[in-house]
Amino acid sequence: MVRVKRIVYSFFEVSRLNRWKPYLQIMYGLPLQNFQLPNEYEAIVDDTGCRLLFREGSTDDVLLAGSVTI
Amino acid sequence: MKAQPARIGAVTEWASATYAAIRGATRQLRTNDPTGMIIEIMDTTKSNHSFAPADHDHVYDAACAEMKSKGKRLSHFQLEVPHRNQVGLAYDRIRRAGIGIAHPIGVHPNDNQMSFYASTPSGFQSELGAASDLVTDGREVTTFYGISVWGHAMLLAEKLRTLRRAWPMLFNQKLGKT
Repeated sequence: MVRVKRIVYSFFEVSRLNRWKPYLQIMYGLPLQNFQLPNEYEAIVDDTGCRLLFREGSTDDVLLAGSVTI
Repeated sequence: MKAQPARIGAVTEWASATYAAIRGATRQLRTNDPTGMIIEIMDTTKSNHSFAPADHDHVYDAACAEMKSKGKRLSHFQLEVPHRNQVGLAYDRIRRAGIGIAHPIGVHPNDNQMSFYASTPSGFQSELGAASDLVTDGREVTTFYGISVWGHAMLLAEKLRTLRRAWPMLFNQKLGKT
């Protein structure tokens, strides 16, 4: 039986958050909105809760990615 | 019509040195493709491993150069939308906005998905794709000899940007000075 590993979130630290907001809107039609903590933001990908998470910082890379096996 | 992604498709990142060594590679990119299968792209120049692709194509080369130049874990991430027209419309929006297109529209062979890659504000790339094949229990193990069936050819401007990031000394020399 095929086992599918599905990514449900990815967490990025980005230095130019103000540029990410229009980028996500233009590329994917996704608004970037406040998340749980003051400097964290999320773009909700679908209605099952998959999301891209962002915080401001100097890394400009992915920090975490979470997945489920379905 | 906005893109309205249906799900997160893929994240591509470097495997650890230990895992790459176990697989007989000098370095290794891992991605979970939208069909849920793990794709391993291995650089085995030194070990001449039999699993190595004979000729790395432009997408892999670009990903390696990009990640090498900035020491990033991430090459790109991808989101999927249901319809190919949504990919085309997003492509037009990105071009009109003047955002860099790393790889124009093309099709990957593993899932026949049509996609393109844009340059994010953080230096890595993001991909938008649609209409990928679904994996069923009857799917057989297959070897692909390239990353793209057609398209995805890196644009000259992006090639120059990547080269500049990977080897800045080539671009910092001033002409006429000895």
